[in-house]
This record gives sequence, structure tokens and C-alpha cells, in this order.
Amino acid sequence: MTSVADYLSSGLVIVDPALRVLAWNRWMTEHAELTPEQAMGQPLDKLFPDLPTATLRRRVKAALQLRSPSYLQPSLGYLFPVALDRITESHFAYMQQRIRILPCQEDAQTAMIVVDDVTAMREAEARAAAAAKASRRYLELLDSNVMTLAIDAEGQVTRASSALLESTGWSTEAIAGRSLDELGLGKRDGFNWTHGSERSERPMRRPEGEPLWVRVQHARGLEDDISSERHLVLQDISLQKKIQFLSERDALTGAYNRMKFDQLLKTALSAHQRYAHPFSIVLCDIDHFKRINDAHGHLAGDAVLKQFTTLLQSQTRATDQLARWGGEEFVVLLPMAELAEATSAAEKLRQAIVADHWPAIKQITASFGVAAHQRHESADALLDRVDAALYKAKENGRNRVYADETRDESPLNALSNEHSEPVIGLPDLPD
Amino acid sequence: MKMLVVDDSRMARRILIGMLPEPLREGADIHQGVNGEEAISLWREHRPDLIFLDLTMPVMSGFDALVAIREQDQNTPILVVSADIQARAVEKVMAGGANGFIDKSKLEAQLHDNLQRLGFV
Amino acid sequence: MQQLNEDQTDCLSELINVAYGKATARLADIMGAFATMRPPRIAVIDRERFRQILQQACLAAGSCYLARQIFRGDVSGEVVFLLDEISATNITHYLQAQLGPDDTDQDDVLLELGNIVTAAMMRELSLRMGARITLGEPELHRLITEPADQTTASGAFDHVIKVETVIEFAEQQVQGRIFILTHGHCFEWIRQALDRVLNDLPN
Repeated sequence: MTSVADYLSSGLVIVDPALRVLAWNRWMTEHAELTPEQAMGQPLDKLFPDLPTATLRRRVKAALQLRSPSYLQPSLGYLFPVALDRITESHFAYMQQRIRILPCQEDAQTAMIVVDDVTAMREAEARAAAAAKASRRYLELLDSNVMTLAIDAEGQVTRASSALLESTGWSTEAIAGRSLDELGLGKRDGFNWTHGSERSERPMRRPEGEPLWVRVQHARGLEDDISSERHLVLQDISLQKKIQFLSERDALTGAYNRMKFDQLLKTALSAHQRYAHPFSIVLCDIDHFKRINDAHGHLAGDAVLKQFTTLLQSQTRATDQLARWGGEEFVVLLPMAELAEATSAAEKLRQAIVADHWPAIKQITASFGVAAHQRHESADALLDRVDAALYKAKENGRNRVYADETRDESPLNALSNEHSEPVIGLPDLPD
Repeated sequence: MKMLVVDDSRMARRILIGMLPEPLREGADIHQGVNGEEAISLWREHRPDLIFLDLTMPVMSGFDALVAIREQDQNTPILVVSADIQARAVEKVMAGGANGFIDKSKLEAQLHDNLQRLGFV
Repeated sequence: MQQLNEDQTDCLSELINVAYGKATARLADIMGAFATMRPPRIAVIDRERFRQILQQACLAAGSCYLARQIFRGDVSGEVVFLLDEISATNITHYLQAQLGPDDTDQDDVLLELGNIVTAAMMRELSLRMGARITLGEPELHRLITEPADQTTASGAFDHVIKVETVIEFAEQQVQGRIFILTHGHCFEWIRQALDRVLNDLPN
């Protein structure tokens, strides 16, 4: 073989159609551990017992007939074995070879087999494939366990993870194209996409049944510059919400419980402190409730309480907060309401109760005490006043509304001044 | 001199006719057909001195036309011209009575050889 | 996008017909695979249409195989041999039965088939058009339909000659499609070559 061939880092073997060796370069000598003298004139399949002989013959024939290269991908990964000495772990025990068969230019009946060592490349491929596989498994894990949504520039859903579809009952087709808003998750603009790690709690609409309470967070790091797709991660907080609900609410009627009301009252006071927001309290009590219980039984009594609550809720504004104060006592906090407004609201309630149909019990009435929060008044003081007002209503015949008309609180008039004008001590004016 | 050239490809017919030696081309009545059926009817009508048949044609193949013509006429020279040049096809055609098989990819050379052999050149 | 006129299309059609015939003959010779072939239909299409065809083929059969080879020379481009999954499996079984004992896997067989058909066809075609080209190493790709669009990395080639034929292997019909992808200026070269062939013809 020419000396040029001996400098190549590829194996070169020239063969005839029967695979007899006509030339053999130095690379082949070194790697096949056969000298040219040993190899020349021998058919390759005699030199290498595991050779895919029929296939190789065919590829040689193809190259010669096509006058064009043909290729071989040996199923073993190599044409002839060259054991690898490796210190670090390797995927392969033998050199991985790439085989090309080229028709010789000069002679139409001989072909040149070129052998290249592609072990490094195959190892890289194997590593990449393993990494891709691990990555895929991880993604599958995420997809089945984490609820995620991908949305486009218009805030419409493009993809949803399997976990989300399963938890909510949405199908891929049904959820695709829906806007965040439609799903009860807010607007795309509402999210801070550059900094957001804020999380909001939302009732996510479901195709059937009650909404699912979720905490929604923007998942950063998945954006690319080209698409305007964004990703949200949702956490199911329905259990927490349930616990929260149960801890805040009266089990029987669903109204807030007293503990919650105390909180709400505190909030109203802070709002007053910061923004001077007024608010009022209506305290109401079902008249002769014990009689109802005694006459019709506790179940009937419970039913009345439930109906009462429903009625109160329907007759008050969305912002008004209703709580069950005691056995048959209810309290309503009316934010931003002054005394007159609260009083007429109470009156409206009173009438509604009278007018409503109470099954089995012909008539229900209730008494109402109303008080408007005075500047800098404490919670306790306010509650005392509204309690006193209710008492007055009861005393004066029940089924009525009594409003505590104290305007201003001054230490001089802390007691009993129910009758309107702030009384301020003024020195007598001289004539 | 009458010739029949049958091939469903207009271009193939044009190429073949173009490859004929000029005196032959200019001096002959050349009839063209697009399938085996036309080959038979044109042969019957014109009784050509030489027939060129392509193999793969719709309606009736060149091979079927060859066999049909040969049943009644063992003398008129018929040359099969085809792109399909597998050994099996060639054997079949020669056994069917063709006088020669011309490989379209070597049209010029093989056409000349065959014409010479048949005495047209 | 350029198109060929009727004469040029007919001429290319016939050239490809002959070239494809050569390819099947080689297949028979080399792989013992006897195939009868109907004359191929050709069309000149654009990149978008090419992608659509790939997608449709994958959708119909679940996945398909592409054997691709680049070619360079007077004309440059890429030849793509498309086989749907079902056809590929059928052909492979047939060929493996023909070929005998060696343990050849499906990929290797398809590559061999692709290489023979492509090399034979392109050699014949280039000879007839007076072009010198060399083919690169074939690659086999398996395409599965995915929602994201598959880029077949043939972005630069905007003119595609689609060659469609039905090959019959032992009573199984296979839709064999070959696409010759090329640039606009190479396509122009092809057009001129066709004109040269046409001009050599009398009348």
C-alpha cells in the first residue's frame, strides 16, 4: 500500500468481490493484529470469523455496480473486534467502527473498505440518549404529579399536565383554548411575569362540580424568547380551604362563627384607623326561640336557624358579613355604613322575616339592635352598645329595631345617653 | 417504410424517434400508439415493417401486445424498448418472440446495434 | 417558486422513469429483490407541501422512515426516500428472507435499500443531464407525528421534485416516494439541462 495510506488514522483494505485482501494498511496491521503478509490473499471471512460475510459481499457488489459508496452498519458495532483498554467506564467493550466501501477508481473489480474508529462518538450518543431518557422520565414524573398550565400570549391554555387534567376532570380538548379568566384563575395581565413569585388563591372552575381551590404561581425559567408562552404551577389547597372554612364557620348554619367575627371586627377597626372607614353592627335575636324548640323540637329549631341565616344572607349586601353570635343570636357587620343606612337595613330584615314563610311555625319575628362605630371606639365598647340596643328592642315589645344614636363618645357621656345630640359640657353663657 | 412506435410517454416516443438515424427517420411513415391495444390495431391497419414496443403501459401491456401480434405474425421485427431492464423481464420478452430488447438507459447504442442486426442500417 | 413547462416536465419524467428502472434493476442484482415498478409520476412542489406530505404519511401509518443523502456537484441538494412504517416493515421482511443468514437489522436493510435506489437513480439522472455529482452518506430517520412541527432540517431547499411510484415486491405493493430537494439556482441548472436534452431532439 502507498505510504500515504499508512499515515491515515483509518483502516484501509482493498478487496475483490470475493473479499480477498489485495492491500492492507498500517492501521489495519496495528488494530487487527495481522501483518500484511498474514492478510494478503486471504478472504476476510477467514481472517475474521464473526464477519457478516454475505452482507459485506453484497455491499462490495453494490459499490462496484453503483460506482458509488456503500455503507455497512454492523450489528455488532464493528467489523472485526478490537478490545478497548479503558480506565474509565465505557459503554462498549470493543471499538465501534464505521464502515465505508468505495469503488476503486482505477479498477472496476476492486473496492476499498475504509474503517473508522467512531467509539467516542457512539459513547457520546449513548450518554446523550441516557440523559434524554432520564430527562423524559423526570418530565413524566412531573407531568403526572404536578399540576401545570401553559398559556399563550392571549392568556389561553395551550397545554395542561396530566396531573391537572386528572384532578379537575378537564380533558385536553375541553381545556385547550380556554382563557385563564374563564377558568377562574384571573387574567394573564394580573401576573407579574418578570418577578412573580407571588401566589394567589383561586377557585378553579371545573367542567363538573364545585370549583377546586388552588394556589397559582408563575413557574419561571421555562420561557424562551421566541414564544410568549408562560407556565403556571397550581397547588391543590382544597383541603386547607375546607379546614379554614370549618374553623371559621358555624357548622349548622354556615354563617361565620364568633371567633371569625372577632377577626372581622378587628379588620374593620384597622380599616377605620388607616382610612377612617365607618362601619356599623346589627345584632339580632329570634324572638321566643326557646318556645319554638320546646313546641316543635330541636330539629325544627335547627331548620329555623338555617332558614334564618339564608334569609339574612339574601337580604344583605355582598360585603356585609354575617356571623352566628350565640344560640339564636346573629350579628351583621356592615362596612362603610353609617347609622341611618344600617338602621334601614335592619328594618328591611325585620320585615323580611315577618313576611317569610316558616314551615310548621306560623310566625317568626326578630329583634334588632343597631350601632354605628364611633371614632376611636373600641370593639368592646361598640359591642356593649349594640347589645344594649338589642335589649332595648326586646324590652320595648320585640319585633322591632332599636338604634343606638350616640354620636360622639366623650368620657362625660359614656353612660346611657341614647337620645341623640352629643352632650358637651358648655359653661353657661352670660347674658 | 412504415414504423410503429408504441409508448404511453409522449416524450419517450419523441426521444426514440429522435434517436433514429436520420435517413430512416425522414424516409419513413411513423405511426404512434399509447398502449398495447393501439399497438395491435395500428399493426393490423398499417402492417408496419418495424415495431417498437414499450413494456409498462396502461390498458394493455407491451408484453401482451407482443404475444398477441406474434400469434398471427411471426415475421414482422419487434423490438421491445424499456426502462425495466431486469434479467427476468428480458428473458420473458425474448421468449415471447421479440427480436431484441433495448435498454432505455443505453438507448442510442443499443438502438443502433439492433437496427444494424436487423438490416435497417 | 419556479416551475417546469410541459415539455420540460415530460422530459424529466422520462429521464426519471429510466433512472428508476435502472435502480430497480440494481436492486434485483444486488439484493435479489425483484420489484416491478409502474412509471413514476413526478411533480415540482415547494417546501411547505413537502412537509405536509411527510406529516400525512406519518399520520396515516403512525410513523415513517426517511433515508436521506446529500449530494454535491454541478447540482447540490438532498435526496429523501420516504417509506411509511408498514411498507418499511414489509419490505424489510421480504428482503431479509431474500438475503439470508446474516443478522441484519431493519435499519441497516433500509439504509442499503435507500442507498441503492438513490445512488442508481441519481447516477443515471446526472449522466443523462450531463451533471457530475457525488452522494454523501445515507442517514436513516424515523419520524413520528408529534404536535410540535417537525423540522426536517431541509430549510435551505425550496424546490422539491417529487417522484411517486408504486413498487411491487412479491405481491406487496409499496408506495415509494423519492424527493429530490434542491435550491432555486440548482433547479435553474436542471431546467437548462432539460432544455439541452430537448434541443438535441429533432422536431
